[in-house]
Amino acid sequence: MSEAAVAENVNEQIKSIEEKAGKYLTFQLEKEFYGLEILKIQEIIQMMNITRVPRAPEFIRGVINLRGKIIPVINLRKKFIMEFSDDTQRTCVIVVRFEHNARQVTLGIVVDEVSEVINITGEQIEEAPEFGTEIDTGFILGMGKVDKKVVILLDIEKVLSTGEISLVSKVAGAETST
Amino acid sequence: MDMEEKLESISETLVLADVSNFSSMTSLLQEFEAFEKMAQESAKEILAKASAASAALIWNLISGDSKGTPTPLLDILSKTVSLFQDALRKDHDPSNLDFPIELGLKSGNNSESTSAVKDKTDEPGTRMPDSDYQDILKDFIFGAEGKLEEIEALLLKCEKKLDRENIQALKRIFHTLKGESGLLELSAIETICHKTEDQLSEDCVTINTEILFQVKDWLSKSLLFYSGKCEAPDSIESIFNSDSDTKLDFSPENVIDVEFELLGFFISESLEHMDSVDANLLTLETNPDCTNSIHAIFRSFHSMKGAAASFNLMDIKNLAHETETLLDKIRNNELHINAEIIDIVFDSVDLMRSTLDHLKVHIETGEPLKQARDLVGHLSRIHQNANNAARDDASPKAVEKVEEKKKLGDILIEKGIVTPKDVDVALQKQAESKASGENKKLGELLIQEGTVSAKKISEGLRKQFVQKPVEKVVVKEQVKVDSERLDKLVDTIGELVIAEAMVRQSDEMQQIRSIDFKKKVSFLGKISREIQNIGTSMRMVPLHSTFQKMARIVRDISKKTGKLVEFTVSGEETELDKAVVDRIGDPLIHIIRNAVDHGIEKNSEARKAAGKAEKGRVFLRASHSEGKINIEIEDDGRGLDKEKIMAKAIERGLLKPDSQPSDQEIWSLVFEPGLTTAKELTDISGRGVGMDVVKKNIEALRGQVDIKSRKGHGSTFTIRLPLTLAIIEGMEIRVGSEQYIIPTISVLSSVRPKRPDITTVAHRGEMFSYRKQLLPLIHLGKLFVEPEATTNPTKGLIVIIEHNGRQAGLVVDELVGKHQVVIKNLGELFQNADLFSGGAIMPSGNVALVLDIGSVLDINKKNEMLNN
Repeated sequence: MSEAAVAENVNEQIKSIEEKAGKYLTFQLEKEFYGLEILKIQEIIQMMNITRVPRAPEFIRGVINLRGKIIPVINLRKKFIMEFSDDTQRTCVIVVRFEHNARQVTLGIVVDEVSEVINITGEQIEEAPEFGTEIDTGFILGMGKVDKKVVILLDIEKVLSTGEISLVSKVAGAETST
Repeated sequence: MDMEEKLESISETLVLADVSNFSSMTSLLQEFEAFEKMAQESAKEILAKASAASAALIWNLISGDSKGTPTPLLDILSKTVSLFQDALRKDHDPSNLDFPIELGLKSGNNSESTSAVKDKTDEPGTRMPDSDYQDILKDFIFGAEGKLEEIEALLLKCEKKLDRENIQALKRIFHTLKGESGLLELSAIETICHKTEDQLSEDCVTINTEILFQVKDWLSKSLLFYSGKCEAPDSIESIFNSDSDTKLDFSPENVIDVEFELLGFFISESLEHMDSVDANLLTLETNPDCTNSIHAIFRSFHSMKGAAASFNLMDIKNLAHETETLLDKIRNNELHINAEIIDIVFDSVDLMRSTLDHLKVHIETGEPLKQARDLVGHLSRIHQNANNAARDDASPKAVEKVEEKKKLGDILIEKGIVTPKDVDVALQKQAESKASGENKKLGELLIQEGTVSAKKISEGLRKQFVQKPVEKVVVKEQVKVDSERLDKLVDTIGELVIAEAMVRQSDEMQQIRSIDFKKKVSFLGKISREIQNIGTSMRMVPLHSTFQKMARIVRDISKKTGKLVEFTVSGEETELDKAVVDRIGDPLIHIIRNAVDHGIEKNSEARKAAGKAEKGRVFLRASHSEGKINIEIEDDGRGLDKEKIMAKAIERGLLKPDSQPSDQEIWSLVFEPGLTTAKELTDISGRGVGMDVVKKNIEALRGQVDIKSRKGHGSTFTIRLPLTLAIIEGMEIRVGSEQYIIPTISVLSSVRPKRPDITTVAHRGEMFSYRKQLLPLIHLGKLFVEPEATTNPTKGLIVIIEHNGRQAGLVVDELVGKHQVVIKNLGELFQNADLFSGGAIMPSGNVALVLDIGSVLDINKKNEMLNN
């Protein structure tokens, strides 16, 4: 790779990081902090009765009735291969809405606890770490560092399209090394 | 109303205008006068002047001062109107307009400007219109689609029986299309419509449906193009140009045949006219003030006159014309109806009948055309009577004398109609020389059976006439609604019904004791159900236009393959959800194509040998039953070949060589992709894709297809569909801890099984004997991986289901109840979870999944195969 190309590459990375700056809703999963772009969030609702859909992919916990509309609810714990835990008082569903394949998709994400909305600047964002070929980190927009916490910024569309990933340990390892 | 709209309405009136019809001309006059006013208000003096001149011309005609023949008047007027339109639309300087000289306007003969306009409109090819017009364009496309359907219906009708009114209707539609497309500057469409309209001109009694079908197809393609759905179609103007010298359809070699065939139509139609004249005359006899009857008689003669003129049948034309003139005087109160006049008209009818008979003989045997003997005398008699009113008319041309030959009336009714008249007129008839001979011949028979009851018959006729209601067209007011909005409304209504059920069934509500309150709640429930019904019915459209498309397809294929096919449609008024109607077309096309292409035998000899009618028969029927729609396609062709299908299926590994499938199972193999038994591939069918499409589409609509077939006797395809996509009737069942819905369309019954009924069959899992049949058992608990569900069928319940002719028993824990549920999509994430066709929100607020019975059966079969 020529120097010019490298420089361009770096420029592009900086540019894309600049674009990622903004407000994020953070939530907890197994003590980890995750962030979702605030623009994609429709609402946060209390845990409700979820109807299981047999033979659906495992990370889908089922469907709920959101004011007359049926939306799927996904279980990020399953997606990230974390231990299953019982729902608590703080467990809630974040309803996200985004465009996928030119269609509006609305779905719910079960999280342990919703924390807060934070503003993350471009400087606070780092590229997603790479763990080699066996792990796809495409669904991570970047790592935000705020108040000594590390927030994993998720690209929700890619979360759904990538397979189940053992993330927790690796991210935890990466965190200690940085 | 602005000026352009006014012009639209003028041109519409103009097309419908009939110079001999007083009221139509007065309304035209009023239209022009109104336009004149509008033009004056908007300071367009030239236009005002021109319309004033047009109005004057019409007035002249009405008041009878007109010296010229009336037909050119309409031409002049339409030319004027189109010039008006040009002027308004393109903002031309109206002073440059080249108004017809007949209007008497001294406009500069600036032919350049008109030709420039013409060049512009004649520009070939299809242009995308300006974006400003998008809204109007959308409306246009929407409306035009309906009109094209109408055109197709009319064309199909014309192919069966050529009818003047149908052609007129066609002309009207093309004219409106022309006007609208002109407004939108869709010049290609405008030109084509204009040319088509020309072809359909008044004199043209026959039409070339082939070309018109092409025009229609081209127009639909163009519409699709404008709505951005496909490429611009090639221009088809050439089809007109190629044979524009010949009169479209009269291609030289078959002029004679076509003409004779059309003459046949003309004769039978004219005879019908005469029948109605008879009936109306009888009414007039008892009630001389019945203007409706006069008008009806007038119309009959008038339309005969026009038709006869186009065939160059001068005798009939003259006779009709003279009679019409006489009647016109009565209509305008210049003459009063008396017995003599009624007799004269009766005689005209008689003469007309005998002339028509001669014509018939002429066509059938080729004998030279003869003329009714009495014609000249009769004409002068009419003339004389007409002259009594002191008005002068051009005398009719003399006609040759020919021998008379009258056949007796064919039908009893016809005899009945003649009888009272014969009695009434007997005296005058005798005085009237030769015609009486004819009447005696008729009379001999008629008196024997008729005279005695003559009074009764004429009474009966009068009654008949009274009962025949004057056709009233009630135009229902309609509102075009965006279908998205409608969907939303239907969705919301569904939610309302659920919410209402939630309230009604809540525990708190159960504790309330007030009867008054409960009454109110149940009233609320009644209203919401009513709203639900209205909501559903709003999306309902009749199958009519879909079925009509099928008629067209049968026609095309039978032409291509050279097979004679009689296509019978019934139940096309059956209503279905629009979404279903839109998507049922494809599967129907495939099934019908197969029926004609493969089903019906190629040569009629084979059919005759099998004891069937020479013409292949295909039926398409629709009916309602038990909240479902059944659509049946039946043919009396060869039927499906069991052995061939099995051989193919074994070859493709769909069937084990040693298996013994039931008939139903064999027929369902037809739906497997790639399975075809056709030896040769035609461009119509044979690739083995069609039936796969049929099954997929129908299942997407939550429907089912059933096949019944007997080799050599034909096949019947039955499609069963839910009335609507949004709301289904479902059985709520419990499996383990979850609730599910089974569509009632698939449920046959439910039973609590006893141990001896359940047997284990090697390789086919558990079987359940139900009404002496062995059905496979499907444990929903196992299928849904529901640990709490019962594994012992005797402790639960078995729901017997049927799908596409396959039956099975589903083991469930409990039958909870029957509900109407609003079915909703589960969303994209569940594309692979095809066990369910959707979810329904239950009164509890929870979601219950709706089982897709077809895939439950399929998956169970796959599991079985794996286990083996």
